[in-house]
Amino acid sequence: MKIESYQLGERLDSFNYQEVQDALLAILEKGCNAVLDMTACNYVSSTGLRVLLYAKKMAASKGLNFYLVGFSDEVKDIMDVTGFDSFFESFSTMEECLNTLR
Amino acid sequence: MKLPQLLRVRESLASRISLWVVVSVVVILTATVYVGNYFVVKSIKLEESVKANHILYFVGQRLEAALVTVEVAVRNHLNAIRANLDNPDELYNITQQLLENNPAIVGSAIAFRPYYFPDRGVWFSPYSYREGSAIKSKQLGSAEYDYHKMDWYQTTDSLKREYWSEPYFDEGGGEMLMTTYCYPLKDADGNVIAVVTADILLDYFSEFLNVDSFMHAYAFILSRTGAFISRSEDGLVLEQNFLNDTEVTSQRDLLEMVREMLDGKSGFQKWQSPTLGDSYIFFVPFEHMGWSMGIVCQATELFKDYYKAALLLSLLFVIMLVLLTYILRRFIHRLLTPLTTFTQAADEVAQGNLHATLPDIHSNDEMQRLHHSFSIMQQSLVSQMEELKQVNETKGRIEGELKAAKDIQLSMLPKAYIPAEDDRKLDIYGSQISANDVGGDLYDYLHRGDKLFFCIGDVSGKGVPAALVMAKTLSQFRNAVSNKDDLKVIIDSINKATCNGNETSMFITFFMGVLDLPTGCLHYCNAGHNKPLVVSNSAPGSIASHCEELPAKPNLPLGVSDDVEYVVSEYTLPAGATLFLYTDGLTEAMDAHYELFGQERLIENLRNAESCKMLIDEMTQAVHHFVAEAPQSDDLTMLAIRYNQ
Repeated sequence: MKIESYQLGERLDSFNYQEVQDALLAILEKGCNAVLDMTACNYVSSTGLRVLLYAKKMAASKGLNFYLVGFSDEVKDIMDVTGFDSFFESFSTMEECLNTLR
Repeated sequence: MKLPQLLRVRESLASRISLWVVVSVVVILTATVYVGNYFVVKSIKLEESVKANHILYFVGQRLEAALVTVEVAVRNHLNAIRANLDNPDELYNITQQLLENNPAIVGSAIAFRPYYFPDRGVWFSPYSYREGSAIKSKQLGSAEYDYHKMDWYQTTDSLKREYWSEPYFDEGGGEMLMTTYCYPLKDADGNVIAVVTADILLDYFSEFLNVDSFMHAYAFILSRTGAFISRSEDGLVLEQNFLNDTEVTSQRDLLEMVREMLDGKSGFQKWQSPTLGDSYIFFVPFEHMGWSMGIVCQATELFKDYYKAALLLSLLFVIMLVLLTYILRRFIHRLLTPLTTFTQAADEVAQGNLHATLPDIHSNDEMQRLHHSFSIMQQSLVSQMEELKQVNETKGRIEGELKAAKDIQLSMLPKAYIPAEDDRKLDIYGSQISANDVGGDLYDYLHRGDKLFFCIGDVSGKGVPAALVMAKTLSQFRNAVSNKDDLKVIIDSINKATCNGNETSMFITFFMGVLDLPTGCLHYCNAGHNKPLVVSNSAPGSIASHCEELPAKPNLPLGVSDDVEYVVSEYTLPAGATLFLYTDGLTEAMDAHYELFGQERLIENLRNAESCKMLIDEMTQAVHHFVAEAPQSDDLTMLAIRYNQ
């Protein structure tokens, strides 16, 4: 199973959502499972959440998977409040993610 | 041209070009004139030298003719002398005859060698001379006047041929400048027996040396020993030792010239005369006497015509330059006039008159091309302005439409809550400030029976798409709460409707509550929204010390998935408590340094105000104060509900 990851910066919001969305779609277009490495990220806006949701839907439509890795405390709060933590498959580290999936 | 105008030369192209052309012309012409002048002066010198030589030649010819007359006269009397050698006294008559026949001769002697006539002694020299108009005779030789030792006698005797003496002053006579022709009378064996002399006054030369007509020049004669004879107003002047004169020897050029003259050469020489200033000396040999003749003339006289011509030329040159400058300026000005018009046209265009008139260009040159480019620019500007106008109109229309859409959106939100006269249980106030014209935040409430249905939500994304989803969600909420009581049923129906055909993955964080007014029992469902805050009852104005998040079980936002089971929570509001709901536009309001307003500041500023309106107004002010000049990044929506029981 092919996996490709995308490293996210400090934020995922209206400023960079298009860029992140394009990058994730490009990975899925290649037929790879996409992993969003959120280790450095400490803020996800509602626009950002939409990107995650969109990526998951696109992956599902292609029979692929979309994973999130490395929630900071701030991001974890956001994911908790929105209930997204139960909706997405997530790993605490990249290593754990790769080990599990292989 | 006035001075200020001259100083503006740098600003005017016409003036600059004229200046360059005139300067170039001046430089080129000056160089040409300089070279031309060299040849002209050279040719003038040559021409004048030829002229002077001619004059000198004629003077020489006339002098020679006069001298030859004297020589011939002397020779003509030789036979008579020979015939009377045995009759010495008759010889007086012969000298007398010589004078009578030749007015030029002022004295004549027949000086015999010593003891030729033994009875006459050592000296015998019959001599005739003029005294006034009379001619007198006497015997010249004596112990005082020992002619045998004199130059003229000894030279003729030793040379054995005729000879003209060097010029000399006749000390015995009237202090006259003279020269003497000496002829050796020889016997059959060729021995000199006597020297026949004829004196002539050099004054006789005077008129020949008068060359005043030739440029006020004066002539002079240099004898073979270097005696200098010239003519002055007082008559003739003789300088015997001309060659030793310090004035001559100190001037190297002059000395050189004198040598050439003595060598019998001809030529000319520039000379700085103490009396005449810059001068030229032209000289030719006077071969008959072995002398040299010269003419001195002033350079100013020599070049008089040249100076006149040069002055005239200079004047013409200046006039030509002035004319050239004038014509050039006029011509270039005429050429550049279209440029001025272009400049004016450009100014007009800059001021907004795109149809500014361009100059008529008939020449097929750079101006024509400029005209072409300029009119293309004009046309292009006109069409672009037209395009811009259309774009602005379109933009204005869209802005107008968005403004109308915003009004419509605002009108969808609930009006201010007006409680019934006897009902003091509720105070509700909601506020929405959009970041753009239309926004994706929503809130609503409905008082039906003894239940208060309320909600707040935030559609992901911004602008028109979010606004459309907001409107759709709001109407679904109204629709659902108007006839349904069960929160779970209501929220499921809204979620399903949202998921239905949600191609763009829009989702809505949504909080909905149903407050049972008699009991204060609150049923609610939080679909991914910020947790509302509960402010407990305390004195109005004091900081809300008892402020806590409404505990809520997390649910996914609406529109994410249609098979989500939404979990409903339950909470009993204490009397006087205020429920504060907000969207992330509040906690995530950003200042200029990208710092967020945050949950802490929210709680710090959350006061139990007299009314919900005041609470929200204060919060709004706190946010505005925090954000200051930074632009609003997200829609800001707040809803406060106070339950008085």
